[in-house]
Amino acid sequence: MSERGQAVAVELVDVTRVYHSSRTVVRALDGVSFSLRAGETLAVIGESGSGKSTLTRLIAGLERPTTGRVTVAGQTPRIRPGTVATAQVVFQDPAGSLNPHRSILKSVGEPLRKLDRAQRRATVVEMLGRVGIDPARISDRPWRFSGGQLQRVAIARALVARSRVLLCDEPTSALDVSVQAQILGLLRDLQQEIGFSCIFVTHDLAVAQVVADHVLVLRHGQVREAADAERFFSGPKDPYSRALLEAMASAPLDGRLQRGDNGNGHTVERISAT
Amino acid sequence: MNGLSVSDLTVVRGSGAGPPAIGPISLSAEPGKAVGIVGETGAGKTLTLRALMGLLPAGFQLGGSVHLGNDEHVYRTEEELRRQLGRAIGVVLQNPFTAFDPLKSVGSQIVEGVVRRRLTSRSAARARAVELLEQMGFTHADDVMRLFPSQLSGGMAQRIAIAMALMPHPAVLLADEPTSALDATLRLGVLELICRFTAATGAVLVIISHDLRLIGRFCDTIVVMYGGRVVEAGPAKELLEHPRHPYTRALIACTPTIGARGKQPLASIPGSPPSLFQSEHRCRFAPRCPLVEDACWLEEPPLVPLSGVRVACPVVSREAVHR
Repeated sequence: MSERGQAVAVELVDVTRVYHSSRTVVRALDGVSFSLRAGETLAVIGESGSGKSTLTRLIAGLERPTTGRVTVAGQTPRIRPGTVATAQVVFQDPAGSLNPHRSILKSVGEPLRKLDRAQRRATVVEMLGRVGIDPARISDRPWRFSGGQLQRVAIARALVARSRVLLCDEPTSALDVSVQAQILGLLRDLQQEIGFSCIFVTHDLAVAQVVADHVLVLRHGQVREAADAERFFSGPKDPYSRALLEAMASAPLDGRLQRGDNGNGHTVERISAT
Repeated sequence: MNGLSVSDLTVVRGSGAGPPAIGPISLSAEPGKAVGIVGETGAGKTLTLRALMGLLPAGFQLGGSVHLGNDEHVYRTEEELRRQLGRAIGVVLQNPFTAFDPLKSVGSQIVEGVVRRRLTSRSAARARAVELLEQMGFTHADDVMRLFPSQLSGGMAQRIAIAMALMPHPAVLLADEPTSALDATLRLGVLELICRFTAATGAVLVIISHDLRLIGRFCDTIVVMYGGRVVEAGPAKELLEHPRHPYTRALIACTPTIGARGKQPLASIPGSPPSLFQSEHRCRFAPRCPLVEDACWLEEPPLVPLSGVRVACPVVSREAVHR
């Protein structure tokens, strides 16, 4: 991945994260390694329980790996009071990720506490303009915005402090397709403009294809396949990845298959049997 | 006529002045066929479904009529339709857990509806429930009957909710986003189950969804809604391969699909969706439409036949004639 000689933005080396509950031990991540260069997008794909969320939390600095090493922009990610984390997260539910009692000026300006009020306001106005929110609405509370607009606000907040890494956890799966297209387009434009790296967690392979330079398929905490997006979508090597691709995405907009067709019916069983 | 036939269904708010919030919607489906109603948030899908269930919120009125199954009766009022819930009309909701009482076992809930309505005896209902659960892919259906909702995963719960909806042999199964709360890998399997069942029992399936990809895969007929209106309707294959209405085209263009295109930006629709409650008579898509003309602002375009489908766009219809 490092042929082009760009700086590595995110690197995981043999990362394992183990959770202990009263009786069981869960290896949420098991020996995961990858690196992502600055300005590129990695789509992390997996079913529920594959370790996607744990991966996000480790890179965001919300958790530490049990063994192995996580590096974000050359440093170990840590959440410390009064500082802004290098990797910022955009969550699935934008309404739940903004304080309902605060104006969006306050929410988006939160990472800029070191600036004075006028500077902070100017920076927030500029950032909101970039994500397509009318800066005149800066004093509005979140309930006045639609889901797509709130996701724009959440993206503005994540990027306002010039974060180098954006962690998107299913950022469009709660949105309508036309709004999803707008948000994906916005992320793409902003990435070209600002040049942040993006880790895009999704279960939707069609969305992954729109955004990703690289693809990482996780299953039960282990990497099943890591590949360039182009190569991955033209034919995944791993049998599980292939089953995922077939189950989630095939037979797109070209009319229905015959009912009871085995081409459909076996998908669930086949995946659980892999 | 068998199957489902909906004529000029409208939903009107309050006193009924001005255009209706929803409709008029007319559609018909033969037994065993699947109709997909596609639309984005605010398109009026859920109000349409509630109208079909006879469960409109207070302050809304139903217009038009619905004909169910091989019943001679034509249902014109909400009460008449509501009485068919759990009999001729089965319902599957988006979040399966809203279909269950958390304090009762799965088995007692599956049989409750048909036993209460005296459609069958308790023992016959239990036997049918076990049979349906087995067909839904549960190998130990007897054990599943003893579980409580908190012990179910989302996929299990939705499959059980489907079995529950199918208990009274409904003529129509209404499914409101039946798979969007499920893990992506389960979606196709669950939809496949619903479709296989309705096809086998001759029930008409009405699926409401925002996901054109899924609808296109499982439905015979597609109805595209925008701002409370049907903008295009017709056979799934024809509609998806040759979309006519500018909104249908835009919707297809912004739906990501796996293909050879690689990392390309998606088309998006400028502007935002309209309110269902408007006093002017005009095309609801006009403010966002690339083909808009002066006439579009003056009256609501009717749904007219156009080579195999029905389209509510005079611009598209006229161009098709001239070509």
